[in-house]
Amino acid sequence: MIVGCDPKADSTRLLLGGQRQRTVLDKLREVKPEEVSLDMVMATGFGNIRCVESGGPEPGVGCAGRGVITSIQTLESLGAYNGVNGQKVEYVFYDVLGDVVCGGFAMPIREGYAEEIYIVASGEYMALYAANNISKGIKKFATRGYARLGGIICNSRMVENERELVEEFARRINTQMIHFVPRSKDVQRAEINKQTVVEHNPTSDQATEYRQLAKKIQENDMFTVPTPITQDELEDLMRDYGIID
Amino acid sequence: MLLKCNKTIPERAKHFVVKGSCTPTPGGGCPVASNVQTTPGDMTERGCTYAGCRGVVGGPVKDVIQLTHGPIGCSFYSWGYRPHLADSDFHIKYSFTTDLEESNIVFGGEQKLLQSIIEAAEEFPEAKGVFVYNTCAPALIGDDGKDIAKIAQEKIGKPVVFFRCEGFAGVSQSLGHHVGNETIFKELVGSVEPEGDFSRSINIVGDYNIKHDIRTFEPLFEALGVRIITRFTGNVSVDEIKIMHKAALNVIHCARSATYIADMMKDKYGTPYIHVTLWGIKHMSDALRATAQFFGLEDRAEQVIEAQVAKIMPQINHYRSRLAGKKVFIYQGGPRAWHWPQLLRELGMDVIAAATTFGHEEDYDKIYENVGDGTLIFDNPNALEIEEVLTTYQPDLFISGNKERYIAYKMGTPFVNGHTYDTGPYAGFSGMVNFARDIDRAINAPVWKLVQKKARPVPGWNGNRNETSMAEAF
Repeated sequence: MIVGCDPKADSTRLLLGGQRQRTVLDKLREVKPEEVSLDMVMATGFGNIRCVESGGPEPGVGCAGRGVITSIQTLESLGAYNGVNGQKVEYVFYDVLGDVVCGGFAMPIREGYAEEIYIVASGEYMALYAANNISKGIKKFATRGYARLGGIICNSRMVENERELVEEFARRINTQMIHFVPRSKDVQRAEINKQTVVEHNPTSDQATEYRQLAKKIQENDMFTVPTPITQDELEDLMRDYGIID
Repeated sequence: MLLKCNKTIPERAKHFVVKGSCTPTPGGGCPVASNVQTTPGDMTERGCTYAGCRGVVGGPVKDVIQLTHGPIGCSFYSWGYRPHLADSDFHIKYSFTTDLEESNIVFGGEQKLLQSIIEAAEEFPEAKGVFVYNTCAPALIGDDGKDIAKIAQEKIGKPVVFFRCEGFAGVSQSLGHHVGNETIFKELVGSVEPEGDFSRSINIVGDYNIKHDIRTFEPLFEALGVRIITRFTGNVSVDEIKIMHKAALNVIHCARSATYIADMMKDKYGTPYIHVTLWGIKHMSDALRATAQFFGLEDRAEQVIEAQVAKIMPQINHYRSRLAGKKVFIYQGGPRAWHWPQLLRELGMDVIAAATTFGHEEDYDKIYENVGDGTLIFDNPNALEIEEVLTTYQPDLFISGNKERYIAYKMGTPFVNGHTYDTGPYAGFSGMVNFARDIDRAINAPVWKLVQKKARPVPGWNGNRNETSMAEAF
């Protein structure tokens, strides 16, 4: 099952053939909470993946963070985690936005929902800055039995020395770069066709990369409390690795 | 049915029916719209989820720190308005709050909550635990109060129970009752396994010991040979809640706010339950009979009932002679609107209008069963509607809560406070005498003879200021 926790509700789009998922919060706006059922908010997409989008208010109004809390609690009370039609849920993925701006967005990594956290980043300063910030949050909650950090997934932006930079950054914050996903035009091609890469072109190199990533996550046994670095350290790191030409 | 005052909010019409001129529902009642969001424009008197949880279900637990996690006002306005008494007054005397301020909302209130729990527990070592009630603000910013409660519990070595009862969660206080039941059941019930014989023990579920109601009926159950282990929740200690699962039977008084926990106990421990009413002669007798029947103690029940009824009948007869034929309008939070028509009939009175603040469909079905044809039944009233009903139906008595008292007085209608009682207690046989006395005092108070007269012009005044005394005027 994949639970998109971004108000933009774009986590499951490609798994559903480009179809816009009816979000939990949209449904809650239309009918009473007790009238919402699982099939109203969950769709089955590519590879028998159950797709849920939390959704949220329009930009600039309401409280999207509370929206995440409400929709995860709704999913729990609807029994989404118990599986559907006797089919167990083997993995639950929460797609959380990079700027965890309030307690609500941290909901999936707290209260025992998620067990492992993976940060998607690239070798750019802003991406690493955000990753470092998320680490601060994870560390803050480290004593409370919440989810642990499993690694950084480098989603390459073709930056100079990117692999080395992200590996070193990962080492400094006491984790690993679990996989380096190269940049590939296959991603855009699949997206234009409203499909994921694995569905659109399963034999491509890029699809193989994603399978490798999946395997590494499944076999991962390195779970740590991160040691975030200071802004100065991060800037020094960028300077040391980010030599252009 | 649409009242005149609701001309601009026609949606209110579906919350009103008249028994005898409605098409009954499959449940046997009238289709009264209930337990739904308040219609805009209806100045409802409903409370919030927090009010139902802190004020009704959690608040009466006498030996825990009652801590509100929120801004200061939530704590103040939920403190001291309900006389859920006990044989000690720690829970009434003190109200605790984390007093969240701007900076706690911006930076998170979790640390302040943890610090508050520890500080309160140190300051009051006699407290046996901490109940933490969540409010809107920390729920919105995503404070993980449940986890903080877990940490605090380890630190202070006493149970810390976190209620997820943020005010905006439901349409009325009713959801707060549900949250209170569920949380107490999950966190406390069954956490201790006491030794001993519990084969003749019961819990009283859904009685909040308003003005010591429990004192009127606890001795009656004891006279049957049945012990009450836990009173959920009135004059109750957190230790008694922990062993509540040992009881052989749950005797439910307020069906609306506490059937939840009885259902959960039935599922998990197989504890059976019965619904009873502990107000009025017939109902109280039936409650004792039903309990006795469960334990095979029928003979004793009849003896107890006979002795008690004989004791109060001379007084009841006295009041009945003064009250017979009077018409009553009852407006209560929930079930009392269907608990009391029978009691009032025993005093020779009839209910002509009945309403509740947060009743659900079952409550309206039960009101329907308990009142006569022509009775107005309605949901979630506001002050304007109450005024109109008082004017058009002209009841001889209005039984409601303190916030309606002055509407009644303004309209010249005798009033008794059914929420928190004028004197009390009102439950049991002896309480019924108190209730009858209060009703008599209200209806037959000499003041009503005066209010029928117009103030202007002053009757009997001849225009000469010096010659007329007040005594002559009347």
